[in-house]
Amino acid sequence: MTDNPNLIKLEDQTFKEITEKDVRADVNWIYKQMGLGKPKIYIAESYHTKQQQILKYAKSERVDKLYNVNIRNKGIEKGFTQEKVERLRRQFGETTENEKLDKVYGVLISNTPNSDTDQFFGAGVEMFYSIDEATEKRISKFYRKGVFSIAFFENECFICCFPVAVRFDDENRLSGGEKPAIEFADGNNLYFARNVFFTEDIWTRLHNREMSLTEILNLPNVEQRSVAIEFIGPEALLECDNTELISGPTERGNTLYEVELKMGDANRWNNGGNYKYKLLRYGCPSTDRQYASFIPEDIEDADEAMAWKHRLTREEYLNDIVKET
Amino acid sequence: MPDIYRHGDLLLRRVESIPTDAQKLDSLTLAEGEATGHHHTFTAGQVQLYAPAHLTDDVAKYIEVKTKKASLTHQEHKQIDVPQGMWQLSIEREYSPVDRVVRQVLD
Repeated sequence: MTDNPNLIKLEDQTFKEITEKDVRADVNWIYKQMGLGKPKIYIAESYHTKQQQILKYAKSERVDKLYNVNIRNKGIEKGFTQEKVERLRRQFGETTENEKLDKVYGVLISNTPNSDTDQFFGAGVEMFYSIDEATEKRISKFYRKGVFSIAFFENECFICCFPVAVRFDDENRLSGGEKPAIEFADGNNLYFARNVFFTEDIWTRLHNREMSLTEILNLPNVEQRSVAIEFIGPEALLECDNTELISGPTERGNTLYEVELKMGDANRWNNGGNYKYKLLRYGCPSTDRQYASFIPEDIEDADEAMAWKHRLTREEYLNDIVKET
Repeated sequence: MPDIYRHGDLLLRRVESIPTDAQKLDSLTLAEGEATGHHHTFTAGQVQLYAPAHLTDDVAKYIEVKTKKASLTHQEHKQIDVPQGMWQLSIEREYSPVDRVVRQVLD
Protein backbone atom coordinates (compact mmCIF):
# COMPACT_ATOMS: atom_id res chain seq x y z
CA MET A 1 0.00 0.00 0.00
CA THR A 2 1.03 3.55 -0.57
CA ASP A 3 2.22 5.95 2.09
CA ASN A 4 1.14 9.00 0.09
CA PRO A 5 -1.77 10.57 2.01
CA ASN A 6 -3.05 12.32 -1.11
CA LEU A 7 -3.66 9.16 -3.11
CA ILE A 8 -7.34 8.27 -3.08
CA LYS A 9 -8.73 4.85 -2.22
CA LEU A 10 -12.03 3.36 -3.32
CA GLU A 11 -12.93 2.35 0.24
CA ASP A 12 -12.75 5.98 1.35
CA GLN A 13 -15.27 7.13 -1.24
CA THR A 14 -19.03 7.12 -1.46
CA PHE A 15 -21.75 9.13 -3.14
CA LYS A 16 -21.91 12.81 -2.24
CA GLU A 17 -24.28 15.20 -3.91
CA ILE A 18 -22.23 17.64 -5.97
CA THR A 19 -23.36 21.10 -6.99
CA GLU A 20 -21.75 23.36 -9.54
CA LYS A 21 -20.66 25.62 -6.69
CA ASP A 22 -18.68 22.73 -5.17
CA VAL A 23 -16.59 22.15 -8.25
CA ARG A 24 -16.63 25.37 -10.29
CA ALA A 25 -13.31 26.77 -9.05
CA ASP A 26 -11.47 23.46 -9.54
CA VAL A 27 -12.92 22.88 -13.00
CA ASN A 28 -11.97 26.40 -14.05
CA TRP A 29 -8.47 25.76 -12.78
CA ILE A 30 -8.18 22.46 -14.69
CA TYR A 31 -9.40 24.14 -17.88
CA LYS A 32 -6.87 26.92 -17.36
CA GLN A 33 -4.13 24.27 -17.19
CA MET A 34 -5.34 23.00 -20.55
CA GLY A 35 -5.22 26.52 -21.98
CA LEU A 36 -9.03 26.73 -22.20
CA GLY A 37 -11.69 29.08 -20.86
CA LYS A 38 -14.41 28.33 -18.32
CA PRO A 39 -16.71 25.53 -19.51
CA LYS A 40 -20.35 24.88 -18.83
CA ILE A 41 -20.61 22.20 -16.16
CA TYR A 42 -23.04 19.27 -16.21
CA ILE A 43 -23.27 16.99 -13.19
CA ALA A 44 -24.81 13.51 -13.39
CA GLU A 45 -25.53 11.00 -10.67
CA SER A 46 -24.61 8.01 -12.83
CA TYR A 47 -22.25 7.13 -15.64
CA HIS A 48 -25.22 6.28 -17.87
CA THR A 49 -26.81 9.70 -17.26
CA LYS A 50 -23.51 11.43 -17.92
CA GLN A 51 -23.21 9.71 -21.29
CA GLN A 52 -26.78 10.76 -22.12
CA GLN A 53 -25.93 14.34 -21.15
CA ILE A 54 -22.91 14.24 -23.43
CA LEU A 55 -25.09 13.10 -26.32
CA LYS A 56 -27.57 15.86 -25.62
CA TYR A 57 -25.44 18.82 -24.60
CA ALA A 58 -21.90 18.42 -25.94
CA LYS A 59 -21.50 21.02 -28.66
CA SER A 60 -17.70 21.15 -28.80
CA GLU A 61 -14.80 18.73 -29.26
CA ARG A 62 -13.50 16.37 -26.59
CA VAL A 63 -10.15 17.58 -25.30
CA ASP A 64 -8.93 14.71 -23.14
CA LYS A 65 -5.74 14.56 -25.18
CA LEU A 66 -5.13 18.22 -24.52
CA TYR A 67 -5.59 17.54 -20.83
CA ASN A 68 -3.06 14.75 -20.83
CA VAL A 69 -0.46 16.51 -22.93
CA ASN A 70 -0.65 19.88 -21.21
CA ILE A 71 -0.69 18.49 -17.71
CA ARG A 72 2.11 16.07 -18.51
CA ASN A 73 4.19 18.88 -20.01
CA LYS A 74 3.74 21.00 -16.91
CA GLY A 75 5.04 18.14 -14.82
CA ILE A 76 8.04 17.70 -17.06
CA GLU A 77 8.71 21.44 -16.95
CA LYS A 78 8.82 21.14 -13.18
CA GLY A 79 11.44 18.42 -13.50
CA PHE A 80 9.13 15.51 -12.87
CA THR A 81 10.61 12.63 -14.80
CA GLN A 82 8.78 9.76 -16.44
CA GLU A 83 10.43 7.50 -13.90
CA LYS A 84 8.76 9.39 -11.06
CA VAL A 85 5.40 9.28 -12.84
CA GLU A 86 5.76 5.55 -13.28
CA ARG A 87 6.68 5.14 -9.61
CA LEU A 88 3.55 7.05 -8.62
CA ARG A 89 1.46 4.93 -10.92
CA ARG A 90 2.89 1.76 -9.43
CA GLN A 91 2.38 3.08 -5.93
CA PHE A 92 -1.31 3.52 -6.64
CA GLY A 93 -1.78 0.80 -9.22
CA GLU A 94 -0.48 -2.06 -7.12
CA THR A 95 -3.18 -1.69 -4.52
CA THR A 96 -6.15 -4.01 -4.54
CA GLU A 97 -8.38 -0.97 -4.59
CA ASN A 98 -7.01 0.08 -7.94
CA GLU A 99 -7.66 -3.34 -9.41
CA LYS A 100 -11.25 -3.02 -8.26
CA LEU A 101 -11.52 0.42 -9.78
CA ASP A 102 -10.13 -0.78 -13.09
CA LYS A 103 -12.78 -3.47 -13.09
CA VAL A 104 -15.56 -1.00 -12.36
CA TYR A 105 -14.42 1.35 -15.13
CA GLY A 106 -14.06 -1.52 -17.57
CA VAL A 107 -17.57 -2.83 -17.04
CA LEU A 108 -19.11 0.63 -17.08
CA ILE A 109 -17.52 1.33 -20.43
CA SER A 110 -18.50 -2.12 -21.74
CA ASN A 111 -22.11 -1.95 -20.61
CA THR A 112 -23.12 1.66 -21.13
CA PRO A 113 -24.41 2.76 -24.53
CA ASN A 114 -22.26 5.40 -26.22
CA SER A 115 -19.59 5.02 -23.56
CA ASP A 116 -16.15 6.49 -23.81
CA THR A 117 -13.04 6.66 -21.70
CA ASP A 118 -12.98 9.36 -19.04
CA GLN A 119 -10.58 10.79 -16.57
CA PHE A 120 -11.80 8.44 -13.89
CA PHE A 121 -11.46 8.81 -10.19
CA GLY A 122 -8.10 7.41 -9.18
CA ALA A 123 -6.97 6.98 -12.76
CA GLY A 124 -5.49 9.65 -14.95
CA VAL A 125 -4.86 11.98 -12.03
CA GLU A 126 -1.22 11.06 -11.52
CA MET A 127 -0.27 13.72 -14.05
CA PHE A 128 -1.48 16.33 -11.62
CA TYR A 129 0.54 14.71 -8.91
CA SER A 130 3.58 15.24 -11.06
CA ILE A 131 3.36 19.03 -10.96
CA ASP A 132 3.87 19.94 -7.33
CA GLU A 133 2.56 19.12 -3.89
CA ALA A 134 0.05 21.96 -3.82
CA THR A 135 -1.50 20.72 -7.08
CA GLU A 136 -1.53 17.17 -5.79
CA LYS A 137 -3.43 18.24 -2.68
CA ARG A 138 -5.88 20.31 -4.69
CA ILE A 139 -6.71 17.47 -7.08
CA SER A 140 -7.03 14.98 -4.26
CA LYS A 141 -9.43 17.35 -2.46
CA PHE A 142 -11.39 17.87 -5.68
CA TYR A 143 -11.93 14.13 -6.24
CA ARG A 144 -12.82 13.65 -2.58
CA LYS A 145 -15.83 15.90 -3.12
CA GLY A 146 -17.39 12.84 -4.77
CA VAL A 147 -16.10 13.10 -8.33
CA PHE A 148 -16.09 9.68 -9.98
CA SER A 149 -15.29 10.58 -13.56
CA ILE A 150 -14.94 13.61 -15.78
CA ALA A 151 -15.28 14.06 -19.52
CA PHE A 152 -13.62 17.17 -20.85
CA PHE A 153 -15.02 18.94 -23.88
CA GLU A 154 -13.73 22.29 -25.06
CA ASN A 155 -16.77 24.22 -23.84
CA GLU A 156 -18.52 21.65 -21.65
CA CYS A 157 -17.39 19.62 -18.68
CA PHE A 158 -19.35 16.50 -17.68
CA ILE A 159 -18.92 15.19 -14.16
CA CYS A 160 -20.21 11.89 -12.81
CA CYS A 161 -20.80 11.53 -9.08
CA PHE A 162 -19.43 8.58 -7.20
CA PRO A 163 -21.68 5.50 -6.98
CA VAL A 164 -23.68 4.98 -3.81
CA ALA A 165 -22.14 1.54 -3.54
CA VAL A 166 -19.79 -0.77 -5.42
CA ARG A 167 -20.08 -4.38 -4.26
CA PHE A 168 -17.62 -7.25 -4.63
CA ASP A 169 -17.59 -10.85 -3.48
CA ASP A 170 -14.84 -12.50 -1.45
CA GLU A 171 -12.76 -12.98 -4.59
CA ASN A 172 -12.98 -9.29 -5.55
CA ARG A 173 -15.44 -10.03 -8.34
CA LEU A 174 -18.28 -7.60 -8.96
CA SER A 175 -21.26 -9.24 -7.29
CA GLY A 176 -24.12 -7.55 -5.55
CA GLY A 177 -26.28 -10.46 -4.46
CA GLU A 178 -29.83 -9.18 -4.56
CA LYS A 179 -28.54 -5.60 -4.81
CA PRO A 180 -26.87 -3.96 -7.80
CA ALA A 181 -23.11 -4.45 -7.88
CA ILE A 182 -22.74 -0.84 -9.01
CA GLU A 183 -25.43 1.33 -7.47
CA PHE A 184 -25.85 4.94 -8.58
CA ALA A 185 -27.95 7.57 -6.83
CA ASP A 186 -30.29 8.09 -9.79
CA GLY A 187 -31.15 4.40 -10.11
CA ASN A 188 -29.14 3.65 -13.24
CA ASN A 189 -27.71 0.58 -11.58
CA LEU A 190 -25.66 -2.27 -12.99
CA TYR A 191 -26.19 -5.85 -11.90
CA PHE A 192 -23.32 -8.30 -11.83
CA ALA A 193 -22.71 -11.74 -10.49
CA ARG A 194 -19.17 -13.05 -10.56
CA ASN A 195 -18.13 -10.14 -12.81
CA VAL A 196 -20.81 -11.02 -15.35
CA PHE A 197 -23.32 -8.35 -16.33
CA PHE A 198 -27.07 -8.93 -16.23
CA THR A 199 -29.93 -6.62 -17.04
CA GLU A 200 -32.02 -5.73 -14.02
CA ASP A 201 -34.99 -7.67 -15.36
CA ILE A 202 -33.05 -10.90 -15.90
CA TRP A 203 -31.14 -10.62 -12.65
CA THR A 204 -34.28 -9.92 -10.60
CA ARG A 205 -36.13 -12.86 -12.14
CA LEU A 206 -33.13 -15.12 -11.71
CA HIS A 207 -32.60 -14.06 -8.13
CA ASN A 208 -36.29 -14.54 -7.36
CA ARG A 209 -36.04 -17.98 -8.96
CA GLU A 210 -38.64 -17.03 -11.53
CA MET A 211 -36.62 -18.18 -14.54
CA SER A 212 -37.21 -21.64 -15.88
CA LEU A 213 -34.34 -23.91 -16.79
CA THR A 214 -35.33 -23.56 -20.42
CA GLU A 215 -35.14 -19.79 -20.25
CA ILE A 216 -31.75 -20.02 -18.58
CA LEU A 217 -30.44 -22.38 -21.24
CA ASN A 218 -31.66 -19.97 -23.89
CA LEU A 219 -29.80 -16.95 -22.51
CA PRO A 220 -27.71 -15.84 -25.50
CA ASN A 221 -24.55 -15.15 -23.52
CA VAL A 222 -22.60 -18.19 -22.38
CA GLU A 223 -21.17 -16.42 -19.30
CA GLN A 224 -24.63 -15.34 -18.18
CA ARG A 225 -25.87 -18.87 -18.75
CA SER A 226 -23.02 -20.27 -16.73
CA VAL A 227 -23.67 -17.94 -13.82
CA ALA A 228 -27.40 -18.63 -14.01
CA ILE A 229 -26.85 -22.39 -14.01
CA GLU A 230 -24.49 -22.02 -11.09
CA PHE A 231 -27.04 -19.83 -9.37
CA ILE A 232 -29.76 -22.45 -9.60
CA GLY A 233 -27.10 -25.12 -9.06
CA PRO A 234 -25.60 -27.43 -11.71
CA GLU A 235 -27.38 -30.35 -10.11
CA ALA A 236 -30.68 -28.75 -11.09
CA LEU A 237 -30.01 -30.07 -14.56
CA LEU A 238 -29.82 -33.60 -13.25
CA GLU A 239 -32.89 -33.15 -11.13
CA CYS A 240 -34.98 -32.03 -14.06
CA ASP A 241 -37.61 -34.72 -14.60
CA ASN A 242 -37.02 -34.86 -18.30
CA THR A 243 -33.23 -35.02 -18.34
CA GLU A 244 -31.57 -38.28 -19.33
CA LEU A 245 -27.85 -39.07 -19.18
CA ILE A 246 -26.62 -40.11 -22.64
CA SER A 247 -22.83 -40.26 -22.31
CA GLY A 248 -20.15 -39.56 -19.69
CA PRO A 249 -18.89 -38.10 -17.54
CA THR A 250 -15.75 -38.83 -19.56
CA GLU A 251 -12.15 -38.56 -18.40
CA ARG A 252 -12.11 -35.08 -19.92
CA GLY A 253 -15.05 -34.04 -17.77
CA ASN A 254 -17.72 -33.96 -20.44
CA THR A 255 -21.27 -35.20 -19.90
CA LEU A 256 -23.99 -35.37 -22.50
CA TYR A 257 -27.67 -35.23 -21.61
CA GLU A 258 -30.87 -35.35 -23.47
CA VAL A 259 -33.44 -32.94 -22.12
CA GLU A 260 -37.06 -33.08 -23.05
CA LEU A 261 -38.95 -29.82 -23.12
CA LYS A 262 -42.69 -29.58 -23.07
CA MET A 263 -44.72 -26.98 -24.86
CA GLY A 264 -45.18 -24.02 -22.61
CA ASP A 265 -41.69 -24.28 -21.14
CA ALA A 266 -40.53 -21.70 -23.62
CA ASN A 267 -42.81 -19.51 -25.65
CA ARG A 268 -40.50 -19.66 -28.68
CA TRP A 269 -41.07 -23.37 -28.91
CA ASN A 270 -43.42 -23.85 -31.80
CA ASN A 271 -42.98 -27.42 -32.91
CA GLY A 272 -46.40 -28.39 -31.74
CA GLY A 273 -45.38 -30.90 -29.10
CA ASN A 274 -42.60 -32.15 -26.89
CA TYR A 275 -39.10 -31.54 -28.08
CA LYS A 276 -35.85 -33.29 -27.21
CA TYR A 277 -32.50 -31.64 -27.37
CA LYS A 278 -28.93 -32.47 -26.43
CA LEU A 279 -27.12 -30.64 -23.69
CA LEU A 280 -23.40 -30.90 -23.00
CA ARG A 281 -22.08 -30.09 -19.57
CA TYR A 282 -18.36 -29.39 -19.47
CA GLY A 283 -15.81 -27.74 -17.24
CA CYS A 284 -13.24 -25.05 -17.88
CA PRO A 285 -9.74 -26.55 -17.42
CA SER A 286 -8.49 -23.37 -15.71
CA THR A 287 -11.33 -22.49 -13.39
CA ASP A 288 -13.28 -25.77 -13.13
CA ARG A 289 -16.37 -23.64 -13.72
CA GLN A 290 -19.21 -25.65 -15.23
CA TYR A 291 -20.81 -24.61 -18.50
CA ALA A 292 -23.75 -25.97 -20.43
CA SER A 293 -24.20 -25.84 -24.16
CA PHE A 294 -26.62 -27.15 -26.75
CA ILE A 295 -25.27 -29.72 -29.19
CA PRO A 296 -26.73 -30.98 -32.50
CA GLU A 297 -29.21 -33.77 -31.91
CA ASP A 298 -27.26 -36.37 -33.90
CA ILE A 299 -24.25 -36.40 -31.53
CA GLU A 300 -24.32 -39.27 -29.05
CA ASP A 301 -20.90 -39.09 -27.36
CA ALA A 302 -19.84 -36.47 -24.78
CA ASP A 303 -16.23 -36.13 -26.04
CA GLU A 304 -17.41 -36.00 -29.63
CA ALA A 305 -19.76 -33.21 -28.57
CA MET A 306 -16.90 -31.25 -27.04
CA ALA A 307 -14.79 -31.89 -30.15
CA TRP A 308 -17.65 -30.56 -32.31
CA LYS A 309 -17.70 -27.35 -30.29
CA HIS A 310 -14.07 -26.73 -31.26
CA ARG A 311 -14.38 -27.92 -34.85
CA LEU A 312 -12.25 -30.99 -34.15
CA THR A 313 -12.74 -34.66 -34.73
CA ARG A 314 -13.13 -36.75 -31.60
CA GLU A 315 -9.66 -38.20 -32.22
CA GLU A 316 -8.07 -34.77 -32.57
CA TYR A 317 -9.76 -33.62 -29.39
CA LEU A 318 -8.59 -36.63 -27.43
CA ASN A 319 -5.06 -36.97 -28.87
CA ASP A 320 -3.78 -33.83 -30.59
CA ILE A 321 -4.28 -30.95 -28.20
CA VAL A 322 -0.83 -29.98 -26.91
CA LYS A 323 -2.18 -27.80 -24.13
CA GLU A 324 -5.56 -26.55 -22.96
CA THR A 325 -6.24 -24.04 -20.23
CA MET B 1 0.47 -34.85 -35.46
CA PRO B 2 -1.32 -31.50 -35.67
CA ASP B 3 -0.27 -28.78 -33.25
CA ILE B 4 -3.42 -27.65 -31.43
CA TYR B 5 -3.74 -25.34 -28.43
CA ARG B 6 -6.93 -24.51 -26.58
CA HIS B 7 -7.24 -21.30 -24.57
CA GLY B 8 -10.74 -21.18 -23.11
CA ASP B 9 -13.17 -20.78 -25.98
CA LEU B 10 -10.37 -20.28 -28.51
CA LEU B 11 -8.58 -22.95 -30.51
CA LEU B 12 -5.26 -22.42 -32.29
CA ARG B 13 -4.28 -24.86 -35.02
CA ARG B 14 -0.90 -24.70 -36.78
CA VAL B 15 -1.07 -23.99 -40.51
CA GLU B 16 1.53 -24.09 -43.26
CA SER B 17 0.92 -20.52 -44.37
CA ILE B 18 -1.32 -17.50 -44.03
CA PRO B 19 -3.34 -16.55 -47.12
CA THR B 20 -1.72 -13.65 -48.95
CA ASP B 21 -5.00 -11.71 -49.03
CA ALA B 22 -5.35 -11.72 -45.22
CA GLN B 23 -5.34 -8.22 -43.72
CA LYS B 24 -2.82 -7.18 -41.06
CA LEU B 25 -4.40 -6.13 -37.77
CA ASP B 26 -3.10 -3.47 -35.42
CA SER B 27 -3.89 -5.40 -32.27
CA LEU B 28 -2.58 -8.24 -30.14
CA THR B 29 -6.02 -9.25 -28.84
CA LEU B 30 -7.54 -12.40 -30.26
CA ALA B 31 -10.98 -12.05 -28.71
CA GLU B 32 -12.81 -10.00 -26.09
CA GLY B 33 -15.66 -11.07 -23.83
CA GLU B 34 -18.80 -8.97 -24.09
CA ALA B 35 -20.19 -9.65 -20.64
CA THR B 36 -16.96 -9.81 -18.69
CA GLY B 37 -14.63 -7.44 -20.46
CA HIS B 38 -12.02 -10.20 -20.31
CA HIS B 39 -9.80 -10.72 -23.32
CA HIS B 40 -7.34 -13.18 -24.83
CA THR B 41 -4.23 -11.15 -25.62
CA PHE B 42 -0.61 -11.81 -26.50
CA THR B 43 1.47 -10.05 -23.86
CA ALA B 44 4.98 -11.25 -24.67
CA GLY B 45 6.77 -12.22 -27.85
CA GLN B 46 6.50 -10.74 -31.30
CA VAL B 47 3.16 -11.44 -32.95
CA GLN B 48 1.26 -10.26 -36.01
CA LEU B 49 -2.46 -10.92 -36.28
CA TYR B 50 -4.38 -11.07 -39.56
CA ALA B 51 -8.07 -10.98 -40.45
CA PRO B 52 -9.12 -13.44 -43.14
CA ALA B 53 -10.17 -11.75 -46.35
CA HIS B 54 -13.26 -13.95 -46.48
CA LEU B 55 -15.07 -14.60 -43.26
CA THR B 56 -15.71 -18.26 -42.61
CA ASP B 57 -17.01 -20.11 -39.61
CA ASP B 58 -13.77 -22.01 -39.27
CA VAL B 59 -11.21 -19.18 -39.18
CA ALA B 60 -11.63 -16.06 -37.07
CA LYS B 61 -8.06 -14.80 -37.39
CA TYR B 62 -4.59 -15.84 -38.46
CA ILE B 63 -1.60 -15.50 -36.16
CA GLU B 64 2.08 -15.27 -36.98
CA VAL B 65 4.37 -15.82 -33.99
CA LYS B 66 7.70 -14.37 -35.03
CA THR B 67 9.71 -15.09 -31.89
CA LYS B 68 10.53 -18.50 -30.44
CA LYS B 69 7.28 -18.33 -28.51
CA ALA B 70 4.59 -15.82 -27.54
CA SER B 71 2.58 -15.69 -24.34
CA LEU B 72 -1.20 -15.73 -24.65
CA THR B 73 -2.92 -14.47 -21.52
CA HIS B 74 -6.43 -14.01 -20.16
CA GLN B 75 -7.83 -12.82 -16.85
CA GLU B 76 -9.12 -16.28 -15.93
CA HIS B 77 -7.33 -18.82 -18.09
CA LYS B 78 -3.77 -19.88 -17.45
CA GLN B 79 -1.14 -18.49 -19.79
CA ILE B 80 -0.05 -20.59 -22.72
CA ASP B 81 3.14 -20.13 -24.71
CA VAL B 82 2.41 -20.44 -28.41
CA PRO B 83 5.45 -21.62 -30.40
CA GLN B 84 6.88 -19.79 -33.39
CA GLY B 85 4.98 -20.31 -36.62
CA MET B 86 1.67 -19.65 -38.27
CA TRP B 87 -1.67 -20.47 -36.74
CA GLN B 88 -5.33 -20.19 -37.46
CA LEU B 89 -7.77 -19.22 -34.76
CA SER B 90 -11.25 -20.61 -34.39
CA ILE B 91 -13.79 -19.76 -31.74
CA GLU B 92 -15.89 -22.29 -29.86
CA ARG B 93 -19.34 -22.83 -31.30
CA GLU B 94 -22.66 -24.02 -30.02
CA TYR B 95 -25.96 -25.12 -31.43
CA SER B 96 -29.25 -23.35 -31.00
CA PRO B 97 -32.05 -25.90 -31.09
CA VAL B 98 -34.55 -23.06 -31.00
CA ASP B 99 -33.27 -21.35 -34.11
CA ARG B 100 -31.65 -24.54 -35.51
CA VAL B 101 -28.45 -22.71 -36.27
CA VAL B 102 -24.83 -23.07 -35.25
CA ARG B 103 -23.37 -19.95 -33.72
CA GLN B 104 -20.20 -18.71 -32.13
CA VAL B 105 -20.07 -18.82 -28.36
CA LEU B 106 -20.45 -15.42 -26.69
CA ASP B 107 -18.71 -14.82 -23.41
